[in-house]
Amino acid sequence: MTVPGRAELMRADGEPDRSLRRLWLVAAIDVIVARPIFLVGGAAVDLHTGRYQPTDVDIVGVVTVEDRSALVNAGFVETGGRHLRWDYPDGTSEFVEFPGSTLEGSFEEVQLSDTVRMNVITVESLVVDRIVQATDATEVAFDEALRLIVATADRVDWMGVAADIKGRPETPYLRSMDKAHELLAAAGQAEIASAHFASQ
Amino acid sequence: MNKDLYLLATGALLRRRREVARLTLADVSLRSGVAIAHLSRIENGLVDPRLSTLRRVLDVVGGALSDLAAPPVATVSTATVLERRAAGADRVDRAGLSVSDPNARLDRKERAGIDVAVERFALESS
Repeated sequence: MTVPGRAELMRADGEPDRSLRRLWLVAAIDVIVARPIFLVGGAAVDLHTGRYQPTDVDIVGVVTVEDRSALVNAGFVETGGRHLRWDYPDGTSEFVEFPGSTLEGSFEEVQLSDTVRMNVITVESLVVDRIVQATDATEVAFDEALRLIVATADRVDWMGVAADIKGRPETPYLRSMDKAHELLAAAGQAEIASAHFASQ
Repeated sequence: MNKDLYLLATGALLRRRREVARLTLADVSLRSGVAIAHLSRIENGLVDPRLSTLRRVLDVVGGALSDLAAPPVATVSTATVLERRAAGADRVDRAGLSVSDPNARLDRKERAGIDVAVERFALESS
């Protein structure tokens, strides 16, 4: 009998690239949970910048208590907190967290093999998230957003980013628009800043 | 797009429309006659609602059934993922930006009241 997720976990265990092994791990969780889940957060940022050292793997989606038990049965380890741990054969570990049930934004699929795909938040939704975070005026949040923008500015749908920010009533959007302008200027993308995030 | 993903996309669209209209689930329930619990499950993509239910909800939050056509989802290869990462890293390096400092990120989360003990452990053992 085939154990759900086992093949994907074995691919994760044998994958030498740090990003791809995380993607295989998420694909395994997707199979075990049997509902769509999405990679978000720093591990997703690292796919675009290569200069982010994630401390855990954030996944959003509906993950029930029963799902968590199924993940433990598949070999994940409860840490006693929010995280589950996966131990790779090389002695390293991945800490997986499920910070929410719904994806804020859009996603794309990564084709890992002929038959396996997994979902990752789009770069546009990541950029919006980091810009909103940077409105807290901390240096670290600004730097994180700046790094992502520098890495991706030429392929981001900035019109979509601006529309997304405007459509988020829960965030002070004017502050986010100003922050986007400031970040793009700092990234040497004044033209994009003026075109999409000019002062309101 | 498979059915589960379509339901999630539909739910996300309805939630976004509701938020833009500044309505609570209770507001939409009252005006549409759809139970709050059912609305919540629709927004989370957990149920496959009837067209008549979707129409009633859209009448309240704004929109038409045609808005619910499956949005295009791009599929990328692992080669693309790796190319993007390499190109991004190159740009970050050329811009003279330092590598992201995980300790500074964890300090920020901790100041926000989030327990980061596991992440600190992960960082120290990596």
